[in-house]
Amino acid sequence: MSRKERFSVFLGGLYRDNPVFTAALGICCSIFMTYDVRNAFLTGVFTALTLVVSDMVISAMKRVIPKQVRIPCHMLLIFGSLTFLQFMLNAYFPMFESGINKYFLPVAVSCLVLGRAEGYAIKNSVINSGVDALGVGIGFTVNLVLIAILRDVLGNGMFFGTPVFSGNVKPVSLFAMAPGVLFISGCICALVKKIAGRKDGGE
Amino acid sequence: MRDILYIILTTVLANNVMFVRFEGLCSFMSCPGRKSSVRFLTFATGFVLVFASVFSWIADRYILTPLNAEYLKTVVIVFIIACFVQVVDNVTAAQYPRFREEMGICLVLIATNSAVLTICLESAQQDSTLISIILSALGTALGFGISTFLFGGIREKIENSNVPECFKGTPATLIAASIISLAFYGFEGVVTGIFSMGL
Repeated sequence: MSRKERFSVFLGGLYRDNPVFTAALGICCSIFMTYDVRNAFLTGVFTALTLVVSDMVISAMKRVIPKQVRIPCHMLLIFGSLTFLQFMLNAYFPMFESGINKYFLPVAVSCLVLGRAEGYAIKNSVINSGVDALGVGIGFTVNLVLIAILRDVLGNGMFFGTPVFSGNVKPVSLFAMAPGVLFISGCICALVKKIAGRKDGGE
Repeated sequence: MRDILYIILTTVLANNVMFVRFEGLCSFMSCPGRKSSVRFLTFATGFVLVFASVFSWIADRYILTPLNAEYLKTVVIVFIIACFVQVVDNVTAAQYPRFREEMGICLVLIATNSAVLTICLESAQQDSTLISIILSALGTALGFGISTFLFGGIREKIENSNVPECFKGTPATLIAASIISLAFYGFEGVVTGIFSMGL
């Protein structure tokens, strides 16, 4: 497959049929992990790494796993890749040691990883699954960071620690709560849909 | 009687699994908006909830604790849940191929439903009894059912109405969910208010 086709697979994963924007997968994760920007970013990166590793493993083993027992096998493979990543990160980036462990469970049960494994990796080649997973992971990270920033600005009135509003303008505390996350991610989904729609129309 | 009523009212309204605790939204969001498929998803989730929580209780009490293998608890519970989801998937494929076609991956996503995982992790604790975990699983399934029932109607309305092109589908559903969850926040005061007046 040529480099151009690879890139189009990557772009497809990034926004055109990224399940984060088309089916709101991973919304639980975005509600619980976006209370500050650093946390959102680390969750996104950890999810992206897990996606790449687990999707490539699942895609490589798609002929070995019988279809009737695939879901338990996939869950175990995802847990295995997560544990592998956790050990690797703890060994090579010891400064995150205490941090990584708390992302383990949210990432393990985020619908995004299983959803992409079921929706893409079992039908496509290993390299394509890896490229697509990278796109989906980057899209998810950008989505989480954007939600966290908007939540901070609109809900707490702070942009990386500096107050944004002055005088009588008060921040809307709704956006610091969970319903605000649903609202913001709805708007982001609409924006992505608009951009993707324009690209499709132009081609 | 009063306690049972209180538990039902809190699980269904004030502490609703979907719109207050925000668990299990993913599999619902990826489900198509038709009423029949929403109902099917609800029953499948209830089935997985009840059976997986009973089996995690058994696994914890009779296998993991005697072997001193509590560190494997999460993996084992996720595995049990995934097995029951696989059962649902296989039965659907054999009996209702039309539903399986229609619903896509949202049946599979019950395996990562955090409501199911929370209930199973709770039931795999030392002090819980079999009756209490069955009751809490049923209560959660009821709460899930109520919210999918309410929200299913709204989703059908959204699908038939004229929303802007880029908001069609997922974005409109997310924004509707945000507004409904605000309404559910209000129930908290109502339920505690009723019971503090001395019903």
